[in-house]
Amino acid sequence: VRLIAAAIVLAGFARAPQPPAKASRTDETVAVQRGTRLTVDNFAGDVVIHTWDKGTLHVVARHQSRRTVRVRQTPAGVVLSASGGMGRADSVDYDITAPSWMPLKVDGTYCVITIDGTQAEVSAESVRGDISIKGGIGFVTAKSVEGSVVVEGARGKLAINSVNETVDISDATGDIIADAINGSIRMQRIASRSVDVSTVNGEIGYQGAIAEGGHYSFASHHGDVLLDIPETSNATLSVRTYNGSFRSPFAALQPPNRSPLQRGTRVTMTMGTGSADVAVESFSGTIRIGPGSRTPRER
Amino acid sequence: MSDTWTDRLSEYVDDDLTPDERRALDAHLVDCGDCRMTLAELRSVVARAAAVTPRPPERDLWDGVASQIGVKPSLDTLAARRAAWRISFTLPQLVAAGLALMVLSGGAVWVGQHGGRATALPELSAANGSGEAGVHRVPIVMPDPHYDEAVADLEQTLQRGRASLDPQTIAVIERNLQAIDRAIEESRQALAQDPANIYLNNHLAEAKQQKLSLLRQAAAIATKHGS
Repeated sequence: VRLIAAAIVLAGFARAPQPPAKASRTDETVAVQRGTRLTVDNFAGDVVIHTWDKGTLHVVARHQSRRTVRVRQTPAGVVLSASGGMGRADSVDYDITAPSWMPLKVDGTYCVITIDGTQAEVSAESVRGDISIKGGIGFVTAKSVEGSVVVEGARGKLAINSVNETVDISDATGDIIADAINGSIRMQRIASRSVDVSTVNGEIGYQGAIAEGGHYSFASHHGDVLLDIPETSNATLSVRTYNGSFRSPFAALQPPNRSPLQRGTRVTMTMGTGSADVAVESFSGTIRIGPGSRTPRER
Repeated sequence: MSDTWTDRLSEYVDDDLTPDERRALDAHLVDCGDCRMTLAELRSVVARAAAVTPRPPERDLWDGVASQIGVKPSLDTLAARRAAWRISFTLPQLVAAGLALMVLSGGAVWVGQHGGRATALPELSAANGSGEAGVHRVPIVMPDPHYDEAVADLEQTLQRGRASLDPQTIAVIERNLQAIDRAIEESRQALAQDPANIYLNNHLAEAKQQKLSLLRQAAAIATKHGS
């Protein structure tokens, strides 16, 4: 009986809720030299990065008291990481203000990444978490498996990827590669000479100029491809579909015979001087080229 | 669409045209978007081929090939034949080569990074059929053991790291892999109807690349989380 009573008491202790860990805050400012890179490695939590004109990096981190956030100056730049506590299971929320010239690299898993106002290179990767980047100059890379990716006002070489959610790129300039599997890809107000967009199940929407001599490729398997480009563009359009269809109100984009537009045969049509190459493919979706083409629906 | 220059594009890429022909084709390309697109595709295949380190064959395959196509070998040694060969490819052959190289290079990168079993080269075979209008048509039947092996290796890696991944993440990855598999299957079915269709061949290759890419990404995440 004593043994049973002791066991019940011990079991009761074992089931008793643990006291909540205290929240803690790290607040640190470090001087940084021009060209220094910021690297943030955060397993779970939010990473918000603002920018300013000062030559200092201000880091505010909210975390459990048992967790320690370190701001390390290394030869590769400033590195932010957390240790201790329950390991990676403890989330850390960062609110960082960095010089606008500071190259940024953020890696996370369950991590929402928000970067606002940067004028430097950006690399942001998350597994489950949305990524939002306003600004970015040079190489701008953003990848998420389960989260959406939004990039606004970036200039340079953009490589944007979301496996399962929407990619949204606007007011961008430069070479753009965007891809998804189940996600749609929306591009608005784009000024680029090189655009390469592909998705398997999603739709593609492009609204922007076609530059003289530019190269553009849009490909979806199941999704529609909708290009809102000026009728005055100088472009050679190569359109291919297997089970899909093609529509355009533009006089220059009326194929003489609609039958070749099936079964994957390329149909080439010329707008103006035809100086830019535009390849548009959808295995089974609708290809539509013209003004006011709707943006892809949310999935 | 096709014109008299379409069949000369391969020679143009190989720099085998006479200066006059080259100038004429240069002038033609300015006005012909169709040829420009075809040329871009050819260059894409050549670029992929250039990315792979050349390797001499482990044995002389010419006798077998010659007997298959009914040509009597006229040169005695492999070295002599190599010196005498001027190799040029039709567009479908280049597409086939590109597909093979794409799969090989993807698999080679993975095997190089993670190790793997030694494998034999894939066999290519051809028969008559239909394809892109105006281009000599050679249907492509291409088994792809390297691709299957690379996929299997990555799936095993993913399986080993499965416990370290969140179930929701696994479900999302599997859902997306299924989406690609459906696209691959639909492309294969379409190719069965029209084996020489260049669009379908490219489309299938791209879908396979997408699968490899997603598997690599997923395997890397699983490995990172498991470490």
